[in-house]
Amino acid sequence: MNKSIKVTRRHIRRNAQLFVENAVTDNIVLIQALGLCPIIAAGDSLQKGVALTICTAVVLIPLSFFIATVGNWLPKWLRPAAYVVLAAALLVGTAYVMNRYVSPELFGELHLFIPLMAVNMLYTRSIGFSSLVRPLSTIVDALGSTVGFGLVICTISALREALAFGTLWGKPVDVTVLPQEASSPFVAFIMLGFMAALLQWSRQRITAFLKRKEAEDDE
Amino acid sequence: MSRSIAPHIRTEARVGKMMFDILLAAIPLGVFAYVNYGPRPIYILLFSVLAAVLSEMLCCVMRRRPITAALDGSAAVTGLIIGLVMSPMAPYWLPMVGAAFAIFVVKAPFGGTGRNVFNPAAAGIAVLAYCFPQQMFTYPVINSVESLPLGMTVPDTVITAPSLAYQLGNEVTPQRTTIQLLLGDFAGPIGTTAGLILLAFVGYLLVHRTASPWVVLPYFGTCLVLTWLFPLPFMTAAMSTTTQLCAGYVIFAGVFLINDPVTAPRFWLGRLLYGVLTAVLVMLLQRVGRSEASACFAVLVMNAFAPILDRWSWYFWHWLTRLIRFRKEVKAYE
Repeated sequence: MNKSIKVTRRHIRRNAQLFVENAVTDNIVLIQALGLCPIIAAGDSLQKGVALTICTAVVLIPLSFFIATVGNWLPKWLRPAAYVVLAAALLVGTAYVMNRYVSPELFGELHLFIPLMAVNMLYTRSIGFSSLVRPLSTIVDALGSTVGFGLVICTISALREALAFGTLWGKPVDVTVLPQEASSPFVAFIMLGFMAALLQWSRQRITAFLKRKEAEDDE
Repeated sequence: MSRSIAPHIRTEARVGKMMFDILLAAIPLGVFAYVNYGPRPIYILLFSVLAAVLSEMLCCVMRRRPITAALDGSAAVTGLIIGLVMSPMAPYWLPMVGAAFAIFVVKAPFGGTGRNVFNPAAAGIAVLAYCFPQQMFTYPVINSVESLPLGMTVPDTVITAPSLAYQLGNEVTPQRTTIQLLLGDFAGPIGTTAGLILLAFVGYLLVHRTASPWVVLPYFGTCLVLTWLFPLPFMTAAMSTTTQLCAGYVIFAGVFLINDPVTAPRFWLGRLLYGVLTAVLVMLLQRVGRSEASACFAVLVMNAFAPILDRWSWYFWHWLTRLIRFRKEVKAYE
């Protein structure tokens, strides 16, 4: 930890790459298939989507930072327990704030999925990665993961809400084309599949394009 | 014998022959429906097939394939199967929605004919049953009118009857004799009520080698054994067996849904297991779920397990034959 932390251009570039990877190209949901449960089970209105994204940010970023800084001092056998306790503490805090100050109804609908998210995504993602790199990188990584998760859950929940109930953030929008059953989990599965396929396809196209350009440059 | 995992690509000629064989089912079932309900079911079948073929053509255009590839019959079969489970008084858009879903969501994204993981027709029916139960499961009383009106929706004046599966779920004994049940003389979808026609058709498919006996015979055998072993408490044993087999899509699934060579396992032992397990799941869901379309859900679940069944049964068979050969060699040595 005594190394002098000097932010160079290389660092910035690497961190930017890390962010884009987690948010878009190696999207945490669509490519790495983490955090599917809250999206499929709870993401059926835009409000819930945004709430879950904020919860993710509130828990994931401090946890990653903690793992990267304090985590390596702890004895190995203690680490998982400490991480879980910290995650649980953060979750309890978030849940309390949500229940007390934001919206008790929203909390009533989401209270089951917030801890599920912790196990599904935060834990699997951050422990493998955050203990290996510098604190700044872990924060960028957590931020990227949050943005990636948020993009997907907000898209899917907005689509589900608009198509099934004809509302967006509780306000009526005139696009109802499907029966109310369209907000059920299987529709979210199908949407996720199509989004993942779209992402893979565009990735392939971009890679092929870059290769072609490189070959042209070589000539 | 070569090992291969479930989604197979068959040769073109074989596909055409198989699909034609299955499309033949439209004739007897269409005539049956025409006699009972007038021309409306025929239109439903036509619209359904048309929607499926048009969707497939659109997919061919999108994937830059020749459009004639859509005419190999597989899309038409999907449309026909979806049309056959419609209620005779279903609005015309209902099977079209199902067919479009089957082609666009279940078949095309996985790579089209021969590569789909799930049976597109079963998935289409499942979605319709989930999203539009009102239109799917309202059946007119058979022979109540000369012919059903041809409009987009059938007026409320047509007398409707609860389906057989619904009656069984509510512990009502249907007022039908065994012969009437087998001949299809009860309210139900267009093509799933005529038990004897369907069974004869399965015989035809078996003779033509379009259906594999390793799937069909275990399926029907297990259904029979299960209904015989676990009769419904509120009616006689013989009656209970016939009623449970005729209710819902049990026979229909055995003819059309599990015979799909693309989604079924390929190795004979895997096929046997597939048939038995599908039958168990179908009868279980029928008993517990009380839904008409439980057979579709069972087939979809088993489709997901088809590659695993194929692989494991192959490993098991390989291990067994090697063990037997080894024992023989040891004996000869001694």
